[in-house]
Amino acid sequence: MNKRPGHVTVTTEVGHCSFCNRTRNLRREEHQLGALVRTIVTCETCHRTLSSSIGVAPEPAAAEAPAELEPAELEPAEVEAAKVEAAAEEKPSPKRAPAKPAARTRATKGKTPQKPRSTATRRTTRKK
Amino acid sequence: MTEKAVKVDRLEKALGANKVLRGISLEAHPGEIFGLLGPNGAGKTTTLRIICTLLAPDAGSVEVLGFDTQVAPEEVRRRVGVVTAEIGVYPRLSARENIAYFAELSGVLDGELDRKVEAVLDRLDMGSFAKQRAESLSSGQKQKVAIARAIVHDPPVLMFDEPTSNLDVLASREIRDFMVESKGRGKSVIFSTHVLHDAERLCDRVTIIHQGRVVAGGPTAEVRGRYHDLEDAFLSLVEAAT
Repeated sequence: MNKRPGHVTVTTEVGHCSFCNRTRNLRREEHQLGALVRTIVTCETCHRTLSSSIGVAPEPAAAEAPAELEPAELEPAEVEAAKVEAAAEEKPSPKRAPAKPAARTRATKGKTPQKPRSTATRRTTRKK
Repeated sequence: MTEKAVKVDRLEKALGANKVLRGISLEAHPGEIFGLLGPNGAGKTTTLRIICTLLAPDAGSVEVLGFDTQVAPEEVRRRVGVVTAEIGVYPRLSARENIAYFAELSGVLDGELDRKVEAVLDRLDMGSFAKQRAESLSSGQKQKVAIARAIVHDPPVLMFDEPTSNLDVLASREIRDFMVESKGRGKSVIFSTHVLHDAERLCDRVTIIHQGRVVAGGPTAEVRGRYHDLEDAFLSLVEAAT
């Protein structure tokens, strides 16, 4: 996407306008100012400015997913280290694994009762 | 007179893992409007919250008219009035009741309460809606209530954190006029804003902060320097510091 200074990104969203005091379409303009971005939110009905603020523009590298280096660009030692890390990541964590079946059994019990019972009350009574 | 109304010295503050302030120092004097500028997340509001004793600093110190915020926080609160963008008035109370309630909280005595509330209602021209419930007031009128409750105890230091962000043109102008009037009465006004045009017109001195550090500070004309206006200077200074 074009993020040069002067570029304006316009989006609309539904939100509360404090001037109209009701839900309206709000227009969000993001004016790129180099390293900064000015965000102006206006109401599309009354055209009044709800907020105008200056923030730091997200860096392109941070905004997108960090690109992984090609294996060719890495040193052999780094490739080995990356392989070991990847293998370690692939292993399922010992704490999480047992939690899944337990959750499933609970869910299945709740959804499909083994025998149709006449009322829920009777079940409670039996328990007591 | 060289007495400092607010003196912030090497202030540091971390909120969770995020280090918000990294050694902020600034001074605001009586009878001036001091602009605290910076992009979102720069640390402006955190600085103001520490000055008004809502947050404690991790390092550094803040003095308001000679009172340290950590040694004598109650003395500091008596001398500070704060207006923020989030107005937060009690909707079921009338404008007058809101002001009277905050006056009592600020330690205004019973004998003086009515006189002070009346004085502030007159000063801000709120007579026409003083008896209305706050929920029925417009944004500008609510902001006037917020200002009235901040000044009802007549504090020498006033802090405005984005006071015009939810207001229309006319209401914003009234707030700006009020700040100028307060300056004329010898108050120290600290004004945090993104509207750099307002800052340029109103502020005697400004400090620009970015990523928890002071990027530039001094008289407004000096900070603007060779740039066309304060906004250009602000953008260049912040970009250089990024």
